[in-house]
Amino acid sequence: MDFEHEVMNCVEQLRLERKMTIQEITNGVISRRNYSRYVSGEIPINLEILTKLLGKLGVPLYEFVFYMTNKNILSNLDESFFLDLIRNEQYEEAYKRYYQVIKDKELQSIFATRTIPICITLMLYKLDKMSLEDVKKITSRIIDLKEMFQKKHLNDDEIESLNLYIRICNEQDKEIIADYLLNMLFCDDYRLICAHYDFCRMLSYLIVLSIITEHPNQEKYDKKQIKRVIDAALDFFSRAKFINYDILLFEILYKYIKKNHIDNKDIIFYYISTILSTNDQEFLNGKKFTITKEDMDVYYELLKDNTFLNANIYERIVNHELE
Amino acid sequence: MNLNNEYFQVLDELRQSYNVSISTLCEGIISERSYFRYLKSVDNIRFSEFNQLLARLNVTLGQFVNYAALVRNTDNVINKFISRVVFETFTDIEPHYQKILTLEPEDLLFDLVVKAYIKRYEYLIGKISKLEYLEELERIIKSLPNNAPLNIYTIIINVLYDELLENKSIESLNHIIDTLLSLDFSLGIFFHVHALDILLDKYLLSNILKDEVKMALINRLIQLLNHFPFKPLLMKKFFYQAYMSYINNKQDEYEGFLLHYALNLVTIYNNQQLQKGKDKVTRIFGINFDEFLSKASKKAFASSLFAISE
Repeated sequence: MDFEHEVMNCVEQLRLERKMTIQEITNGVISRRNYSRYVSGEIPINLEILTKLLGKLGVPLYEFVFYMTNKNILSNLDESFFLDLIRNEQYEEAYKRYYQVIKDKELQSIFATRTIPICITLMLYKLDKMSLEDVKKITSRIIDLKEMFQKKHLNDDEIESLNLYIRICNEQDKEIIADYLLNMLFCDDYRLICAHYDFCRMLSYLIVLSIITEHPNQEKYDKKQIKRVIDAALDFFSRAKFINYDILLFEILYKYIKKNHIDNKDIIFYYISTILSTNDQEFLNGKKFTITKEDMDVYYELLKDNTFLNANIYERIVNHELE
Repeated sequence: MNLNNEYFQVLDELRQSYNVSISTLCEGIISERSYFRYLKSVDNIRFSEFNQLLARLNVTLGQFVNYAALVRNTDNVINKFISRVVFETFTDIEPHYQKILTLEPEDLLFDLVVKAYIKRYEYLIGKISKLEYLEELERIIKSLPNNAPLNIYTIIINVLYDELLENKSIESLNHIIDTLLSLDFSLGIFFHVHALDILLDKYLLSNILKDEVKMALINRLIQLLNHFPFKPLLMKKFFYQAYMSYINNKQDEYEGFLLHYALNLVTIYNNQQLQKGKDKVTRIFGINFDEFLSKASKKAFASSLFAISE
């Protein structure tokens, strides 16, 4: 179905749902005849007429676009679910459930160009069905950092593909990615042009933090810079409130404070509580989280600490140095 | 500047940041002359041509509209404001609230929804009384199109009104619920969720709704919440899953879901909202929240989720 036909189909669906007559929706906008011609695809719709028709339906344009985007997602769920599993390192499950469907499919989702192809490559590599040499050849065709980072914006497909790429790339590429994303996150002239803006921003923080907190050269990303990124990430997570991914954030922070012998009870509490806050077995994927008895004591201590419980989420971490 | 022209301005901004020349962008789609015309005047581009220009920049319509909303700010402000009112998280709501008050109405039904949420917020923070909020919602309901079939916008306005009625319900409650359960939730999914949540919060323990209706509402809410990876909404899902397990005497399941609910509650909320959530647990399940949380946490530490080292 061509694009305009798809748009008008959605408009028609909404009109019928609202039990509006063609007369009612077209009154003062276009003729009934032209409306039927738009719906049949005989003549193409323009943005102005579309906006006016949507106005009759009481729907803002951006809500309508989300409606169409949702429909696209719902009709390409296999790609979304496949990506979910690979993102969560469930390679065997992804192979078992989706590989036969995905491998020869004409990909339709917004992840078709880079992410799904990288998913397939990564999955085959992790399941020993592809050599590292072949992985590098294929990924270099899919991801060219020099080309991708020539511009000052990234989209959903690019962010998701980078999130997967860092699992197999070398340290040099990780540094290039971290440096670019630091600009993305902190410089006004860099943009995320994403259908899932908040999710992509969240992934950007996770990618950067996973690289800079583990970087072998501690002078490249000093404590002050790391704290700056942590504070920005916590501020973002406190507003976005995504499930499950806060576990990944606090896993990074927990490892960081333990590695650097930093005493921070709030991070320990949030690390444990984020794990206990979800029952998503797919996401948890049989993982076992190692904590100490001392960590458990901290958890119980803060459960009873009204000053902590009545502070805003993550506030105390942001307001204090990590020493 | 009309919306069409505004979006074209944003497209041109994107073109420049992509370092793409006008001739490269337009080739085979529209003439350069037409491009300049669309940019400067109120002439209207065909929607498919607009979409083709976006595709040349490797941008989908969804990405573009989301980006334009951020640049244009208006649409984004509305979404951010409403989500904060729904979640009742107000720490950073004020700038969005102030901005929304300055917006020009676009004479859409959606404007009435926005107005209703503004009033809800003002009521929740004590800026207006319950009576004032009720009267404002009555005015909004009166201005809804007469005899028009229900849609998600009219439903959420009516549900917000019904929420305020103590010991009684809106006349069309059953019709609202039937429609809510049968509507395609792709449009305004967020309002579907909020409407279901408000209805359940009010009627879960009452006799006004039949059990099978309550179950249908709960199942629908749980189904929709699978599309929202956000903690405040996940928290609600856990609550109702705990409730389902509780009434079906599945003790372990009930405790598991309630633990998840409790921990989301203590991390997301504080002060009044935290207490409200604790009281809800006591009201529905007849237990002490703090004692339950401590006991359930001990059990969780002993599970296969954790490896405890010295």
